[in-house]
Amino acid sequence: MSIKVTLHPFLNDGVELQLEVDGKTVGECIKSIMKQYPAMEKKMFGKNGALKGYVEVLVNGHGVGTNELVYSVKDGDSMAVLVFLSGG
Amino acid sequence: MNNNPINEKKRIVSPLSLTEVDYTRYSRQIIYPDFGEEGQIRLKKAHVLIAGVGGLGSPNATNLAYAGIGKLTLIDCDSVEFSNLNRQTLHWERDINEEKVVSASKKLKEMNSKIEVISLNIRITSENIGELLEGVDLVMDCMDNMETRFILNECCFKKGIPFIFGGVRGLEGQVTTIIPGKTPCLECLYPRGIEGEKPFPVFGATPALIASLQTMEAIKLLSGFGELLTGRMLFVNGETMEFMMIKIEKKKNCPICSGGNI
Repeated sequence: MSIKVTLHPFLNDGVELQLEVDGKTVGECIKSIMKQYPAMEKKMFGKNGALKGYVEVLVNGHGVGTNELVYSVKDGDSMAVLVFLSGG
Repeated sequence: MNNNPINEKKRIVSPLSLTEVDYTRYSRQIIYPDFGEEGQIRLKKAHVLIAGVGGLGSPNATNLAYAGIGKLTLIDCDSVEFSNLNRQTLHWERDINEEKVVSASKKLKEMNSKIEVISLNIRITSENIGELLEGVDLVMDCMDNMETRFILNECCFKKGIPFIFGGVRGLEGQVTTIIPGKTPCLECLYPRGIEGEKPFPVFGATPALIASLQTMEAIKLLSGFGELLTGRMLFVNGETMEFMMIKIEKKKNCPICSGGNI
């Protein structure tokens, strides 16, 4: 179960990160990433354990909604964890 | 490679619609091989709506006015504040408390007296957006809030109007071009209800850069050449000078463009 993940540079001290992780859901994949990069947790998660409002997850190029952590992924899927820049 | 949908329309345009002054004024654009006289005529005939005349809207309006877009409609319900002046380049110290659309249109008319500028000091709502988009060829999304971006996205999809999305924060920005029915729409990417921080941090150079990328998309789309940022989102990180392109796709159950439930 290998998921290709791209992480927005803002989440990793300004450096874009591309890696492969295992997991059956978006949440499991993110948990796997957190084990390797624990410093990201503060940037990604709020006190309530949910992803912060500016963090958005795309799976195979499209958004996965507000219950993103339980969204199922399968072998070969690509996932992008992005910071949504909404200012104008 | 050219993924520009305007080529499919095969518009018939008359070279007579450019004046001698136009040929001189826009000569550096007209000599661009893929653009030419026909491209300039298409810009002159175009009506572009700029939603939000702030950090993104100011340089977009400026670029489009200089490029010779025939008609610009500016919409913003705010007045100029002192904290706008690090980035909102159409608003100056003398304009504090002036309506942004009035402040902007004064400068735009001085930049290019031959274009038409419509100024609307109103808030975009789901009730008025249909009327506001009548006759519009393209929408530049320069808003600072998600609620209005989603209203624009939905109505642009219904009316088949292209929509160029730009967003900024700090030294970072993102841009994509949305063609109704052909590309993912904004709601394929982001769920309703999300909202960015207020006030958000930003340096003036960031919206200037992202707006220029939006304008390049507008010029290509309206004149019919080049490869558009369709089906992909460009992220720019000015802190590290990295550009990241993410492939984006339509969402199967998108409530706007795929008939799903809102």
